[in-house]
Amino acid sequence: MSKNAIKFQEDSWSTVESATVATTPRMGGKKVQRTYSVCSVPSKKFVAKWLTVATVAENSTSPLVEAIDGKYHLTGQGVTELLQELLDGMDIDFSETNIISNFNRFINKQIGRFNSKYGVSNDNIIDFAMTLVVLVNNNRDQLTRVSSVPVPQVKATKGSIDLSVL
Amino acid sequence: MEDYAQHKQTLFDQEVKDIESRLEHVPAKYPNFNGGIAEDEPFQVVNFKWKKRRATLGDNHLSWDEYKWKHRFVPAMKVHNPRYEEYLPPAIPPEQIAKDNAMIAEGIATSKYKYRAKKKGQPSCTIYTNTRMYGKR
Repeated sequence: MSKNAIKFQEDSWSTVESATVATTPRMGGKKVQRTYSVCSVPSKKFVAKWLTVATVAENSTSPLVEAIDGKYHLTGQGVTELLQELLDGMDIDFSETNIISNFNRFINKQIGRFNSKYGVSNDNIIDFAMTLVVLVNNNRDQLTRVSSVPVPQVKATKGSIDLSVL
Repeated sequence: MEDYAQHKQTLFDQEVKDIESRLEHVPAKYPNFNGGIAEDEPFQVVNFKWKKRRATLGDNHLSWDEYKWKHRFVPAMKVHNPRYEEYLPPAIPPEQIAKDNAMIAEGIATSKYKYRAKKKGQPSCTIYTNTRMYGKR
């Protein structure tokens, strides 16, 4: 299978056929590759925006993220903007899925990474963009899988109902 | 309050624009990224160029928020605070320092061993005062 490189368009989202995305989940660890038959690629603006959120010191100045008990969460504005951008770019409404919790985890991890000693190295920034691609595509795949696969029949558990009370 | 939120948003937008201008596509520099594309293939790999910023102006023209924004990556500097002066050891007065220096100079000048400096061609001379330990010298 031929591999296609991902290129971020300036303002618009795009799709790449049979793309392989490599990320490094742990610093200094092994690369993990994922292949998508159709890969959604966010716009450069989208990447820049969330990169800003992750790199701003203490994140107190970013209106999209707030720190509660040492963990970062998307604010109401952040959630609205994210869902709207995903709806505009991918034409998928993620509002009923768990993308927000996934995104919160992603943001926490990336903020920690960018605050480390070699935080804003090129490799980290590339990895940030690639992880964002993976996050978006995994959530899309999950959504399509859930809606296409029928709900499995669950067998009844052991035990009997006492009907004597009736 | 609203003004502050607006101001925050403006600063954030400004930073997004700045970072966006620094993200670049360059020809494959990292063949291992993007799923191991070979170097000779004409694909492009995403690379974000992170330029260093240069301070061209002082900070006097900035507001407190702008100052904080400009120095957000710079660790806090230690500043002398007169509030904590009472916890510091008392400073030695300059007269005392001058007196001590004079005494030291006098001691050197009137030293018993002042002529026993190293002569030309001789190894350096070590002066031992503890005769009990080292014998007479």
